Formats: sequence, structure tokens, C-alpha cells
Amino acid sequence: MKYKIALALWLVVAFGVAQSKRTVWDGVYSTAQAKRGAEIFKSQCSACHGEGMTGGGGAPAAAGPEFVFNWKGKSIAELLEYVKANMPPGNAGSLSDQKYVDAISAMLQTSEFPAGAKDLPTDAAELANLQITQTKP
Amino acid sequence: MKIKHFLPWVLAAVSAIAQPAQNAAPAVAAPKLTPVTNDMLAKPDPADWLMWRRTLDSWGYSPLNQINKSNVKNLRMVWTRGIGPGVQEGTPLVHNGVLFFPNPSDFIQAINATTGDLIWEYHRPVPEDAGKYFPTPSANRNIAIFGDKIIDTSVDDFVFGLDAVSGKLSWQTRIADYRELSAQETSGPIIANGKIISGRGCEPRGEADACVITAHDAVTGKELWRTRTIPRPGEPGAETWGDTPLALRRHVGTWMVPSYDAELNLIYFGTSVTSPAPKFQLAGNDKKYLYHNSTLALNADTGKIVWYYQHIVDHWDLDHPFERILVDTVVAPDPKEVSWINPRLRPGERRKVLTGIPGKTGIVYTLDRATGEFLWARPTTPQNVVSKIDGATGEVTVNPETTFERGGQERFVCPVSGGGKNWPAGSYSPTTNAMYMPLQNICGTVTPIADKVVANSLYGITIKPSISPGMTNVGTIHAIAVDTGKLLWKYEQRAVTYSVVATGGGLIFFGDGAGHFHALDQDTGKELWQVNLGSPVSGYPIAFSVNGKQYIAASTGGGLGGARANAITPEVKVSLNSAIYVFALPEN
Repeated sequence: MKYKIALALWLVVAFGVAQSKRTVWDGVYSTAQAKRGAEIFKSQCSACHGEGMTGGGGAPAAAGPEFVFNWKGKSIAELLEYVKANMPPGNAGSLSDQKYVDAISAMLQTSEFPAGAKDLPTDAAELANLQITQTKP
Repeated sequence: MKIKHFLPWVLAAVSAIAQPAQNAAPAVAAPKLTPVTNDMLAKPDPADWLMWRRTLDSWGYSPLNQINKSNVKNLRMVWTRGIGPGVQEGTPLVHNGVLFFPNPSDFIQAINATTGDLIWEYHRPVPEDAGKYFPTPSANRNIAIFGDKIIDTSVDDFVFGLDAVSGKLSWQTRIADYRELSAQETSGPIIANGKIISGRGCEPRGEADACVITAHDAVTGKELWRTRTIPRPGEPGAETWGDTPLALRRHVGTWMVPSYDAELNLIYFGTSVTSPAPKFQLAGNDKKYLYHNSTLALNADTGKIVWYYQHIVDHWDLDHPFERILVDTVVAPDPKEVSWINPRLRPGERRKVLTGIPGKTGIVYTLDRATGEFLWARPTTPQNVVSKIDGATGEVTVNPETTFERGGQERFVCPVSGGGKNWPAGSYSPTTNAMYMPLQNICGTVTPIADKVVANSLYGITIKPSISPGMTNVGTIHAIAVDTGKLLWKYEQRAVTYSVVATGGGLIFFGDGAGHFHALDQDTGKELWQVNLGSPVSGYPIAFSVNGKQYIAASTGGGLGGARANAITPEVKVSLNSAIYVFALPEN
């Protein structure tokens, strides 16, 4: 019995550690999702951030080294929260959560983070465990 | 056959159905158009708007005066038409009652200027991978007209001519392989004495060879010359890059539209920042890195740089490519308002000057346009990057409190890269000898992202913009006397302000980021009329007339950085619909 409890506790701890250690380097979006997101980005975001997502002309980069510098140490949940609260300017929160995370998946792809098998979820708790880091842990 | 020897002739109307155009969808009977000559471009018919700022001196001024201070309140919309998707900063051309419009993404339309009915449209295929090579490939600020051709540069780095009657592609000439040199053609050309003169942004992957100004024959499209904005080793100016590797001598673009003085035969371009922007990441803060952030005067026949003037060594993405206004004027800067003055100026002296606000710093610079001699300069919106300009030499001293020595170092900078000034153009009116400039009160914190150059990073900095300290309004129009440099009046509002057109009716028309299109009294800045168009008025407004009736055209959409500027005025909530709106006085 003690053995089973210890195993269960170990699994909980190990699972928790694994959860907390997930980063944007772990294949957190799918290629298909990023393709959808690229279309959303083009129609909703590119007028300011550029179709290449590099920013310029007063707009910040939405992908690439400057973007990652700005968001390093934060979670995808924080990024989503910011984007929903502020983007598009003047029309913030006008997209569905699914469209916002699809656009974020395109930003991650353009930032050269690897794709995985599953879509980036919309659930805030899951996204809170996905960290943005400049380098692969 | 030389264009100047063309006899006046009229292009025959052709059946759109019988002769379908390549990539074009003719809709109604083709127009009758008088071929455009060099003389017409030099002294355009008051009814027409034949290039980006209407005239080669970049005044952005129409002499039309039917719409004036007393009746502008009666303006009504007479037609509207949607614009294709993408970054919308287009300028209509009008000739013989036909309005030609550069929609985003190499999509050009000819429209009946009085009804809005489509005459033809041309869709040039945009490469599917354009977004991989360019930040904003769809922007298409302006087109040119010469002879019977509409002329533009394309996303895939060609210059091309369309038959102005049918919209059919007549010729095209490749400027660069867009996958290798990646020259970004967001602005179109002007025509200077039969030559197509065009500049471009240049993405880092193309290194120095992408950063070129070109001239092509306006009839055949044949390339005549190209001039690099970054000297090769051994050429004058190359030493100003110090030990910067050749692969990092890049991104000195000419992404806006030049001016031209036919008498001096000089073309005037402005240039951009380098990539990366902070100079400690290249060869140090003490180098000049020519010819970034400079005014270049080029011989129109050869492309040779006759003179240059560097406005500032730039660490923050404060480009200087904007309109150069050419005026012959008394030069009498008032020392009470003008910070930096050439001590050699004599009272009452007249000069051929190049003036305006060439860069994002918002500083007015006035130079002798024959020689490049510095005459005077003054700030407008808050700035802290220039601490001094030597009046005798024009040498600019950068404020060391705003430069960087390492990654992660935060500096509070005024303005930041949205401006101050940006791509929205100001106007000059000869009736007041004043310029009217759309300027923004935006500062911010700028931070280099690393100690050294980072691959795939365009500028190597991040920017957190904010409204300038002590200010409550972001958008302004500054009216500044060209002779004395004095501020005549200032209009302010919360939303950012966009491009201006001045008219002979004593009016200053401009749009803003909140979607409003305004008319001000040029003498007082008092608002006389405005209408809500619902989306940022990101296109360049113009004035024209057809059959004796004056019209004003404005266009909306999402322009570069515009919505970001709106982000610091969160109460401004607009859509981003792209459309043309044309206004006129009621018939009675």
C-alpha cells in the first residue's frame, strides 16, 4: 500500500514538473493550426505588424527575436490575455478565442518554434503552463 | 520617337470586350486620354493630379478653389468604392476625368472620377511566398503616369507599364530577384524628364546590393542607371562604416517617393536607418554609416550623388525618407523659435531650398537644394535625440543620453519609430508660404535586445511607446512658415493625424486614425468641416476637377503603424475597412 501511495505521489510530482517545464520549444501547436492562423494574422494583424510579422513603422514585431525578447519568461496565457485585451487596436476582443490562439500559433511558427502534433489549446490553465523562452531548455 | 515630339493626340476608345486586357477585367467604355508629357508633369493642369504629391516639388497642393472656406461646410459624398485587401496607403491619380488607384498588392484600377464606375482593373500576380521575404509587401502608395502608360513598381521587384486606356500590361523590366535581393517596393515612382525614378526598402537578406535607386526609360522600361545608398569598399563613404563586415552593411532604404528639380536636374531622396539600428552593434557609436538617414541629391542623367546631408546617426529606427518640399523663398529664420541657424545667412536672402520634415524626429530641416548647405532647423513635436546642430557646418550632435552601449539598456527616447513624422505627408501652400505637417506626440522606451547582432532581427530593438510627457493629445497638424520657421498655428486632437492636401480654396484637408476627415482654415487652423468615414484615413487625399466641378478624394484602411498609434489612445475604436470616398459641393 505504501508503495502504491509513493508511486502515486511520484507520478503527481513528476507530472506537475513536466507540466511546468513545457515551453514553446516543445511542439505546442500544429502546422495546420499555424496555417489557419496565418490567414487570420494577414487579415487582422498585418496592417500594423506587417505580413512578415516583423513590425516596423511604429508597430512591434509579432514574431522573431524582438517578439521573443519582449515576451521571454511569460506564458502563452499571458500573451493571449494581452492580445485579447488590446488587439486589434480599437476592436479588442473581437475575435473568438480559437482565432486568437490560431494567430498566436502562426506567430510561434514564424518565430521558428517547432510544430507538434496537437493544436495550441484555448484553455487558459493549459496555456499558463506553456512558457516563452529565448533558448531551448 | 521622343516623347517630347509627340503631337497632341487622343487615344481611340477601344472595345473592352473585343480586346480584353491581360490580367484586366474591362467593365465600361474606355476613356479618352491625352498622353502625359514632361511639360504637363512640370506644370500640370489644375484639374489633374498626376503624381504622388501632384507636382515634382512635392507640395501636395492643388490650386483649385471652388471649394473654399465659405462653402466647405456644404460638402457631400458623391461616390464611394471599396479597395482591395492589404496595407492601404494609396494615392489616386486623376487625368482627363479618370481616377487611377493603386490598391494594395499590385492591384490597379481605372475609375470614372465623377461616378465611381469601374473602367478597368489590373491584378498583377503577387508571389505566394512574398510574405517570407518582405515585412509589408502589399503596401502600394503611388503610381505614375507618362505618355499613355500607368507606371508602377511591383512586389516581385519589377517596374511595369500598363496601357492607361485598357489596363493591359505593355512592358515590364526586372529590377531584382525578390528572393535574393528582397527590395520592398511599397512606394512607386515619379517621372523626371522621361525617366522613371524609383526607390525602395531593402531587407537585410539582400545586403547592400538591394539598397538601390533606379532610373528606367519611361517609354521602353529599359534600365538607365542604378545607384547604391551604401558605398562599396573603396568608394567615398565606405570608410564611415569602420570595420563593419560587408554582410552587415545593409537596409539603407529609400522607401518613400523622391522630388525633382528640373532646372538643377537633381533628384532628392531620403534614406532610412540601418539594420540593426543601434550602432554599438556595428562598428561603434562614433561612425556615420553613410548614407543612412540622409538627404541625397542625385544627377537625374547619371544617378551620381552630387551632395548629401546626414540628418542624424540613428540608433532607434528614426528613418528620414519622407517628402522633400522644394521652394524658392526668402530665408529668414526667426532665432526666437528656430534652434539652429547658419550664421552666414544674410537678411532678406532668397534661396532655392529643400525643406519640410524629412524624418521621424519631427525636426524641420531647410537646406540649399543646389549645394546641400545647411540653412536652419527646428524641432516641432517633443524630441531628445538631437542635442545640437552646428549652424555653420550642419553637423548634428546626438544626445548621448539616448544612445546604447549594451543589450538590455533602456533609454527614454522622443520620438520613437512611429514619429514625430512618418509616411503620412504634409503639404505646402504657395498662398501662405507655409507647410502643414501631420505630426504625433509619441515617445517611448527603447531597448536593444542583445549585445550583438541577432540573426533575423530587423532593428535589434524593442520599443514601448507612450504619449509624450505632459501631452494629452497625440495627433497634431503644425503650420510652419517656410521663410521664418515660425509656428503659425497648431491643431491638436487625441487621434493620430494622417496625410494632408492643401488647396487654393484656403483649406487644409487631412484625415485621422479615428476615421474622421477634416477641413481646416489654412490661416487659423480652425476646423470648418469634418465627416466620419469609420476607418483610419490612411490614403493620401487629393483634389481634382472634372468639367469645372471640384472634388476631394480621401481613402481609408489600415496603414503601417496606424493602429499601433491608436493603441495609445484606447478610446479610439475604429474598423479597418478600405474604401475611397469622393466629395463635392451640391449642384445647387
